[in-house]
Amino acid sequence: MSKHQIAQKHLRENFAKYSEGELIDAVRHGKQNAFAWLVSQYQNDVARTVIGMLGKVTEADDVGQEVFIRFYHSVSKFRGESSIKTYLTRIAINLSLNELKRRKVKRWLVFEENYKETKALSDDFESSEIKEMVDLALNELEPNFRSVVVLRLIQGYSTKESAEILNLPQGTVLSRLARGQEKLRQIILKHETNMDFVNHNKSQNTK
Amino acid sequence: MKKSEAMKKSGEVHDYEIINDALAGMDYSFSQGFTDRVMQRLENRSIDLFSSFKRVALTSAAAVALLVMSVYFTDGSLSLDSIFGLQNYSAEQEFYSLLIN
Repeated sequence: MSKHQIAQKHLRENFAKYSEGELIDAVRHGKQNAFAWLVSQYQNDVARTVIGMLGKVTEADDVGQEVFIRFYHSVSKFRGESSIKTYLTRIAINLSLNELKRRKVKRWLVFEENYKETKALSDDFESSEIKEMVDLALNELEPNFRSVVVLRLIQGYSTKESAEILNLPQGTVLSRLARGQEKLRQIILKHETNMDFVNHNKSQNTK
Repeated sequence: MKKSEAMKKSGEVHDYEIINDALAGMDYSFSQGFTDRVMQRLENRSIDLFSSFKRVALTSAAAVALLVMSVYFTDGSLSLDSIFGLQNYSAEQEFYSLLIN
């Protein structure tokens, strides 16, 4: 058992039995281990939001860390009106949008480079191939649409919850989702990776 | 015409299903040791804050000590009058200076 696994086991034994509210109280009282447990519990949710928004880049890890640090410093303000997951997602979305503004890179160039790389690396047309394509197309989507797609389709939040997180009317979330999906499809088609073609190859592979 | 449109539409819906399924199955995660990195960063930040506070406090203490020493060596005492620079300034002098002006 590795050092990391031992630490994780230790945290689970100590904190798994506590509710969200009790854990927040423990963090407020300076129990660092309770916070470590929260980080381990919610890191994948934050990763889905941050990596969905920024792509698989090194800054994603930094932004992810910053999400938890902001949470730690604002834990006294956390009133439990929303779940910890929703609260963290809100911070993650805001920090990711800030990072995207700061970056100002030509996203389509990144897409082209990444796309070529993955084409060379992939050996067969499996579902992972489709995921890679969608993942890269997501990076090309404008931040406004991307945030809605990430919340609704990756994180699985309802329209109402997404609207609350993004501070938008539900109608805007719905229209951005529909337009985001269409844009995603167009981006994929634009790069000559027809979904039917992929599907065809996939079914041939499975035969 | 209508049939081909319907076929196109069903193709689109199929594409959306594929995209949605792919998005729902995205297994993004941070590299191993993420929790440790967060805790380390948190610790470093506290240390940074403490060390910057310590630096400001030490500088201020040194400045105060220098001031007190200079007052003592100049006036030979550490009374309030010395600290405020009124050691050699009598109340009569103040009274006359007000009358003259």
